[in-house]
Amino acid sequence: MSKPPRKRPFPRSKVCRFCADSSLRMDYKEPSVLRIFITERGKIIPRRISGNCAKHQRQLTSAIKRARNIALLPFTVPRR
Amino acid sequence: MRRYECVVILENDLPDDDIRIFNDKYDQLIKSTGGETIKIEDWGTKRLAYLVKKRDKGRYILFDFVGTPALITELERQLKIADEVLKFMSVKLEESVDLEAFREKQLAAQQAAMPAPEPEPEPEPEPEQPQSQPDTTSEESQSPAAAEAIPEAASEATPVESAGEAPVESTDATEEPTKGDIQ
Repeated sequence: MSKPPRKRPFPRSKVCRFCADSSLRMDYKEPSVLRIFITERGKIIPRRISGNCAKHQRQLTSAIKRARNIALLPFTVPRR
Repeated sequence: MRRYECVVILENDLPDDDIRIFNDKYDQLIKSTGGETIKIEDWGTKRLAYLVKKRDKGRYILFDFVGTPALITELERQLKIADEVLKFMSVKLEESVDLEAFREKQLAAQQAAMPAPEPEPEPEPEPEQPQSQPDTTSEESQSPAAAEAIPEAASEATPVESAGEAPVESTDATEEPTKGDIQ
């Protein structure tokens, strides 16, 4: 018996969204943009799934961590 | 001098007067050490993503300023002591800022910004005169651009080449006399 085909839960987007759209600015003061790149539990979505380039992912992580520090984004979202 | 940004979360239920006093106090602190306040933004009350000092709402204030590293230590020391401050974070934006050049740039930006907003508020109190002037200027500025855009869009291949050559010749003609004058 051959193995069943692997399931891909997250479809990978190939293009870095910040490279493709220069109007999309990441800033720790704008949690609405950063919220796209965190999971429901508040984790940062990895590069292999979000498709960001290394440069922008680096900037993004620091922006998210800053936003967490001033309570604009959660560190964790507790499970109910 | 360095450029910093400091986000301060205050208690939610402070009256506006206290906020003003708070802003003035730190504005004075920044200026007393030779720094410059660029802007103070009040973001209003926001819901906090997690509880800070058992509160779920806070009032956000953003200070954008130029100052020395010593200023930051003093600012943070005072913010730690202040009771109304729930949390704060300062971020360095630029490593080295030439304050005088920066002030000049700000002045230039203000002067550049001043003429633009002026025509907009004026037409409301005096509808006839100011409106006619900006309209004519805007029409004059727009009409050549529109006239250029339409022929280009209508006939692309050959007229564009002739249109492209003609301005080059005209610019050459204008440049040559000036060169002659200089020499």
